[in-house]
Amino acid sequence: MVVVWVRTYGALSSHSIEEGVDKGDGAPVAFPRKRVKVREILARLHIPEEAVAFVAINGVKCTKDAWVTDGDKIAIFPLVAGG
Amino acid sequence: MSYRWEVLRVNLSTGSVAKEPLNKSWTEKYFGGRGLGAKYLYEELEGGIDPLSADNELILATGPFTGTIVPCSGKLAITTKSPATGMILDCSIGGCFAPQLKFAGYDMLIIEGQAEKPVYLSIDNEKVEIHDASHLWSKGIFETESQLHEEHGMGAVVLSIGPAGENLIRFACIGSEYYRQAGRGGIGSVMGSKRLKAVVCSGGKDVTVFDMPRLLELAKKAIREDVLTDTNLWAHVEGTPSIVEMSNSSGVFPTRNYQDGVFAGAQKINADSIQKLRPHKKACFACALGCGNYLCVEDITVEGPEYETLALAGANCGVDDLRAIAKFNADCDDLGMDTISLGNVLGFAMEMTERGMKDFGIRFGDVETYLKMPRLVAYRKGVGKELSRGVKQLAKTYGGAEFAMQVKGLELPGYDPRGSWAMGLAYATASRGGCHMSAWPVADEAFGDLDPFTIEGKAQLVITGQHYNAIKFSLILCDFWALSMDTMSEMVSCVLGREVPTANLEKAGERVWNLLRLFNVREGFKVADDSLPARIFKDPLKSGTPAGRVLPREQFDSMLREYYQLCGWDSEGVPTPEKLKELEM
Repeated sequence: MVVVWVRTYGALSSHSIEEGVDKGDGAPVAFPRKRVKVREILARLHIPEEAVAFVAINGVKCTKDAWVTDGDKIAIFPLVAGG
Repeated sequence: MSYRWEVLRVNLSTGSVAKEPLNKSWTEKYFGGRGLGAKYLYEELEGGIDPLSADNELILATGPFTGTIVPCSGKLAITTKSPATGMILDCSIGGCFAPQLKFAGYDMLIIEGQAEKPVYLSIDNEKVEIHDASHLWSKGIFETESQLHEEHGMGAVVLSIGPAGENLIRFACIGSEYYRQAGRGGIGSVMGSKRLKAVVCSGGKDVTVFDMPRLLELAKKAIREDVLTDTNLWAHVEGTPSIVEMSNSSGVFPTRNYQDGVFAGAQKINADSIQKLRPHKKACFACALGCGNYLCVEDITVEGPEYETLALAGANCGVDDLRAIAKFNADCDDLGMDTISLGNVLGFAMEMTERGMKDFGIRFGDVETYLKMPRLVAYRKGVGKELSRGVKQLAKTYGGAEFAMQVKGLELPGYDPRGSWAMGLAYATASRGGCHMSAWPVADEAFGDLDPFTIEGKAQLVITGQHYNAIKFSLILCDFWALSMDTMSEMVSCVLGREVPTANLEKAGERVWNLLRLFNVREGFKVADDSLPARIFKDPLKSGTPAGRVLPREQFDSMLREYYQLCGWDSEGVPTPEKLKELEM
C-alpha cells in the first residue's frame, strides 16, 4: 500500500481528491501497490497531463514518469506566467 | 478611439502646465505604455544627461486599453532614465492611477524640470495645480496617501514617494494604494530629485471605444475562457508565493547571496505557510484575477510578500521568519524602497562580512539587524549610508565584484541562471539591467520541460519573450495574463476601429525592443556590458537538480552571439541600419 500526500496549486486545486481532505500538508491518496508513477496520480485525480507544468517529490523537481513511494509529498503546479 | 489625444506637460522648474496633442503617428507604431513612453523619452532627452538632474523626465503613460473593460488593463507605465544603471527604465504599477489619468482627459503626463521646494501635483480633470508639499515631505508613503485622501477626497488616486525617494536612494520606488510599487531602477529617486512628493489624480470623463458591443462580447469571452483558466488562476489562488516551491524544488532559489539554489527554510516561507495568514484579496482596475493577496501576521499587515521579496529579502538573506519578512516588506513599502535590490544588497553585505572582506555588521539570518536596515538605508544612517550605494558600487570600493549579483548596476531578482541558462541571457540583455520582466524563460526551463542546461534554441526563446512583453506592456496588459497575440490583435482592432493584424503587433514588439536598445546604445552600452556576475560562470551550485552546474562562459558567449545575429544586431550589439529600416524606424 502506498499513501502519498498530494498538494495541488492554482486552478488545479479545484480537482477533487476523494480520499481525504487537505489540511495544509496535502491530501492522502492511496494505491494498493508498493510504488506508483506521478502520471498515475494525475490520472487518479482527473488532472489532465497537459495542465501540469511542474511536479516535485519531497521538494525536488521530477518528471511525470518518476516513481513515488509510501509517505512521499507530491506538489503539482500548473503552467505559470509572469513573476 | 480610446485615446484622449492629449498630453499633460508639467515643468517643475518654471511651474508651467501645458496641454498638447498626443503624437498620432507615434501611437500607430508604439501604441502606448512602454513603447510610447520610450519613444517620447528617446526623442526628448539628450544622451548622457544626469538622471537626477532637471534634464531628466518622468513620463507616465496609459495605453489604448486603459480605462476600458479589457481585462487586466489597469496598470500605468512610467518611463525615465535610471540613476541606478544610466539606461532607459520603464516600470509598471498596478492599482487605479492609469484609468484615473485617462478619465481626467490625458493619455500621458510628462514631468520635466526640478522644483526649488517640495511640491505635489494635483489633477482634477482640467484643473491642474502645483502645491506646496512641505507638510508631506519626510513622511512615509502610507501617511502621505492618507493625508492626500483627506485633502482631495477618497476618490482621488495617489502616486507618491517615501523618504528613500526624497533621499535619492538608487533603489527607491514610487508607491500607490499603499502596497503597489513602480519598483525598480531608482524611479522614486528621479521623482525625489524633482522634489515632487506626490501626484494626485481624479477624473470624470469618458473613454470611448470603436465597437462597444463587440468589445463587451470579447471581454466576457476572454474572462471566461482565457483569464480565469489553469494558466492564470495561480495568481489569484496562491499568488506569486507559489513560485517559492517550484524555484526551491528546481534548485534556482537564490540563497545566501546566490551561494546556493536550495534554501533549508523554504517550507516556512512558501505558499502553504502564507495561505494560512491571508485574510482577503484585492484587484486592480478592470481585473478579474485579483492577485493582490494581503497577509496579516501578529501586528503586521501587508499586501504581499510577493515571490521576489520572499526570495531576495528571505532566502537570499538567510531569513526564514515570515513575520520578519512581512515587517521588512511593509517597512520598505512605507519608506518607498525596492525589496529586490535591498535584499540583494544585504545578501552581499552579509557575505562580505562573513568572508572577513568588510564588516558591515550584518550576518545571514540575523533577523534583528536585518529589520533595522530598511530605515538605516532609506535615511543613509550608519552602515545604511554605504549600503544605499547598491551592490555594484559597494564592490568597486570593497571588492567582491565576482559575487556582486548585479547586471549593469541593477541587482538580480530571484532566479539563478546556473539552473536556467536562458534566464542568464535574459538578464544580460534586458533593457533595464538585471531584470526578469523583459523575458521569463525560467518558466520553460526550471519550471517546465525544457532542458535548462543547453543553449540550443535559447536565444530565440529569449527574443520571443522580449518581443512579446514589449508589445504587451505597450498595450499595457498585466504580466499575469498569459494571452495570445491573436487575442491582443482582436481586442486592439475592436478598440481602435482599425485592423491591427497579429503580424503588425509582432513587428511593433520588435520595434519597441529595438528602440529600448537604441536608447542604451546612445548611452554607451556595448557588448561587454551584456554579461553576468562571475559567480554564475565560475561557482557551481551546491544543491538540488543543478548541483555542480555553472553557466559556462563559452556557452554564454555563444548564446549571446546567436542572440545578436537573430536580433539583426551587429557584433557590438547595435541594431543594424537594415534592421531599423525593416522596422520602419
